Amino acid sequence: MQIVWQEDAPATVKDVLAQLHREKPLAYTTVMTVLDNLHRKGHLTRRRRGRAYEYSAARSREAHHARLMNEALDESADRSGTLLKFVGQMSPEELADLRRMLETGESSREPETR
Amino acid sequence: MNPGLIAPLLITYAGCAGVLGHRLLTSARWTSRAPGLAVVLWQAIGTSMLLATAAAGLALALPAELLVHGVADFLNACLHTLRERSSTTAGALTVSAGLLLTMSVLARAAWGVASELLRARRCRGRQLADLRIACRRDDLMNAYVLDDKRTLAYCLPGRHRAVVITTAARTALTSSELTAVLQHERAHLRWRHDLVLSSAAGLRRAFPFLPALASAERACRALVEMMADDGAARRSGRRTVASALLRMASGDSPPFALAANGDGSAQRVYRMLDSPARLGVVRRTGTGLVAAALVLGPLAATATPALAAASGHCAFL
Repeated sequence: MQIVWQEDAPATVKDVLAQLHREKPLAYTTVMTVLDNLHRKGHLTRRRRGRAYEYSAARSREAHHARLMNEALDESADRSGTLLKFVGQMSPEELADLRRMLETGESSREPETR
Repeated sequence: MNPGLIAPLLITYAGCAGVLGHRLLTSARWTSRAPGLAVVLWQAIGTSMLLATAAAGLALALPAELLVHGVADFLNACLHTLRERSSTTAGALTVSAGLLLTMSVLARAAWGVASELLRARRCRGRQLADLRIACRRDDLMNAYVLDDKRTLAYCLPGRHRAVVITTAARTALTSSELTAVLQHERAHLRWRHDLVLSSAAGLRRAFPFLPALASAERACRALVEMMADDGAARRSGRRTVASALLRMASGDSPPFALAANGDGSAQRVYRMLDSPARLGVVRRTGTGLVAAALVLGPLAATATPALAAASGHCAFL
């Protein structure tokens, strides 16, 4: 997918293969199968150009990433524990207070917990 | 002890365990000092309530003396007793009520947990497939990179596992903070926190009318974050984890607005900066024993009349 997005123009199996070949040697049939699978899953659209197909991305990379971000930030994903975010939200007051504590090296907030 | 008392006693116990356990644990201060132990205790409470109710049903349907016989005779004895007791209307009702209680409670719990596990697995599988297609994978960090101006890091735990981090987060964090974040996420994966959360969520889904189970799920969610913080702090240091948390929570360029109120995340930073003393050996062992007692207790209660009958049996022999 990265290559198809990079090209920004319809690409044939040969085009993709040429790009990938720089990184690792792959068979023509392998690349063809992968592109075909991506097409079947709806990530690529294709058009016949002569004897070969030309593949284009169905959705832009930005759209994909935006959707993934939305899913990750979605409240229900958070509540249901499907994914575990590193940290949630803090109020401006909390942030200010904690930053100050971190900078001054203060280590005790509630003395009674010690 | 009158065997007729066992069932109502067990049900009362289940209720008390729920109410008391929930109240004690929710207000306990020591849980942030030993989050792993707290998780075990929460799960023990839920399990205890479940086992006690199931055992109550069994106690209603079958007299415990049956447990004295060998396994081979057990089924015969059960059927015989059931037929015998069912010969009177009162007996039949008691038997059916008891069996129904046990079976429905256990089945419901199993359904809750299983459906939770399946749902989570399906969601995560789909997300991982999307990630694989759309994102670059950074081999050094062993994580997928999401292109976004907002700082975000998360993990997909369980079978379809992954760690994801945004480009903004990677630039904003210092290298030691980045390591801490990745260590935190990896701790979730390593210690299978998805199983902890799925079982808590599953029990809650099965019995949504029990506030103790809702508290348990909420508490476990916060506690596993503390456990992962501890895991990262062990290697990167508490201050690094604290500053990583702050940097990630600050978000980044608009439209990521700061929340008016925090959601409890600040407590984690306070905890990292506070460095509370670890719970002493005595308290830790004691708590562990309480958890064990909670789970084994209901089972023992059903078995005691059998043991008494067995000793009577032996004395006779």
